[in-house]
Amino acid sequence: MKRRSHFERKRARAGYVFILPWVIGFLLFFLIPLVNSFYYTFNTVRLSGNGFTLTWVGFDNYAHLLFADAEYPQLLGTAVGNMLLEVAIITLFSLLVAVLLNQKFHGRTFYRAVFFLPIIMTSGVVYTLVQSVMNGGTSIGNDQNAFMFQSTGLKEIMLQGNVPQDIIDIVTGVVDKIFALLSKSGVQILLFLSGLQKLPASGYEACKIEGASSWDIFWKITIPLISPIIFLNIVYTIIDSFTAYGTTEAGNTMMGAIQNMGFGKVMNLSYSATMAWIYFVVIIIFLGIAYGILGRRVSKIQG
Amino acid sequence: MTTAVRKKDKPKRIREAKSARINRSIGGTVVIFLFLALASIFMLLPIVYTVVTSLKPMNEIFLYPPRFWVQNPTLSNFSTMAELAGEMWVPFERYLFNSVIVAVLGTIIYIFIASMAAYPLAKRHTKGMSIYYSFVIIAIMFRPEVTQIPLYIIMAKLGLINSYAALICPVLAGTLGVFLMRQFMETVPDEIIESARIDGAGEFRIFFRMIMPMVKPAWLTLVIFTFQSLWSTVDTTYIYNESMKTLTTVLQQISSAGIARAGAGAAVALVLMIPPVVVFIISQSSVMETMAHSGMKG
Repeated sequence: MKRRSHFERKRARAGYVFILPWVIGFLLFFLIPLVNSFYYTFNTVRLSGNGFTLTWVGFDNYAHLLFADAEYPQLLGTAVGNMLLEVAIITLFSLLVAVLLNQKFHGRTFYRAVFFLPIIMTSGVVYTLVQSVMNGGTSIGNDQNAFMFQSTGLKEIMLQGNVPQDIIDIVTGVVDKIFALLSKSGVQILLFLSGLQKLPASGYEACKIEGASSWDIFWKITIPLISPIIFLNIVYTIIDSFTAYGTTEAGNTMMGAIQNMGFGKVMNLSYSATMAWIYFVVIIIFLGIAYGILGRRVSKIQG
Repeated sequence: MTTAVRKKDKPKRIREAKSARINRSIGGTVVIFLFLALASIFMLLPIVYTVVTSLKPMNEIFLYPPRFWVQNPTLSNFSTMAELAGEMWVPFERYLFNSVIVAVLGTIIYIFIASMAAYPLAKRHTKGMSIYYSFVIIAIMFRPEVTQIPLYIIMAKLGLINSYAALICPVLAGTLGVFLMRQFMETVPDEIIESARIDGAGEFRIFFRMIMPMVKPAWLTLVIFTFQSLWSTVDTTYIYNESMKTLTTVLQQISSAGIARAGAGAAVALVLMIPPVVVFIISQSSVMETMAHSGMKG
């Protein structure tokens, strides 16, 4: 066995010191609760007095949700379809915008600020409030607002123009989602942009001196160099799409359903936990696919 | 003198040539502008509409068909919001104080924890680090909601209910920041770190004096995300004590009280947007500064 040098051991110790604070937080506030919630999926959880009573039921919760529940499989299907659409549109859109924003032109700072603004409201209460102002959602606003920001008007125009129903459906589907989709791409634009800005200017200069066209430079230099960021963005978008609190207009409603099952009127904690766990297995499968297809290619380019 | 002038002249000419080549044609520039303008309209419209709605009097909010612009702008929605906030048991400033403490403290602590954890993960201090990295990857996929009930039990056992720690701690376990920081730290060349080690710099010195300044854009980005998510946390699980509630929680309660509060809701959304926008502007300008700086040096 190779004996590790004093230097190596010292380095390893420093590594553990660095990672320790996060590991403590992770164990206490994530891993332990997570394992507990996994245990709940095999039990029926009942509130009793000031605690819970657990009754072991094996795989009953899983069987019920997957085969007896009317809504759950449908929710899963919507979530997956929605994710595929979002990954495709958001990745392309954010790459395009980031490449454009990385060019030199007047008003660049203004445009950058505009595209990063949605990050500030993409999650949490502000997003919900703005969405409900826009869509005339349940909490605030009124239904008439939906008239302005959705394709109702567009649909009527197209119907009058004798456009085939299929095309109307696709167009209105995308238009209805466009605000949600574009405002979801702020983080991805930011990641792409910071990736693009780290590319060495000297390499580009060399390419230009050699007479490469901008088109060639983009496909043969930029894309391979930022491929780790592309992969990062796809992974981020998959997770973001799956775990966002969508509305019925755009996005998946799975997170809301899980929340409702556990903390709403039904208060079925074991079903809620099981719904979440099945959902996360699905997410892991899709991330695995993404990693299998893209991850290796990225590491090949990098290596 | 003359040599100095020539030296200044030369890069200018190069820059001109470069910019000319970037904007190949007038047509291309126009297309870029049109695309960006169109896309930014989509980006800005929801925010603009929220601003406009917050200025609408009640009768205009319920107008059919709805009009985009406000006819008779009024600040009554803001005064309604202020009145409703004034009716609370606890002074408004207290809520604001809670929110600021939680968001600022939480952001600072998380940036430190996440960056420190990311460093050995990116630079593989030992082989064991790959296990932690796989934990990071797996954990990104989970939302805190899943673990809410068991988490509550742990919080209660630790005596953290009704404290700022109850709002900050769940964020500290977050792995997205660790993942992002690791991704950026990986691009820091090993040779630089190695040469610093040979020169006798300790790991902490390398981390704080070299790595962190080099990945400044990354952690400033993380500052924006973390502040935003802490600021917009609506918590009704861990905080029962009215005087410990955050501004966001209280304002959300105001706005969710039905359709009559539509205008006040838009006003609330607008007010809640301000602090993250400020943080964003501050950190964004220094992000660009860093980039410009490193660009000049490189």
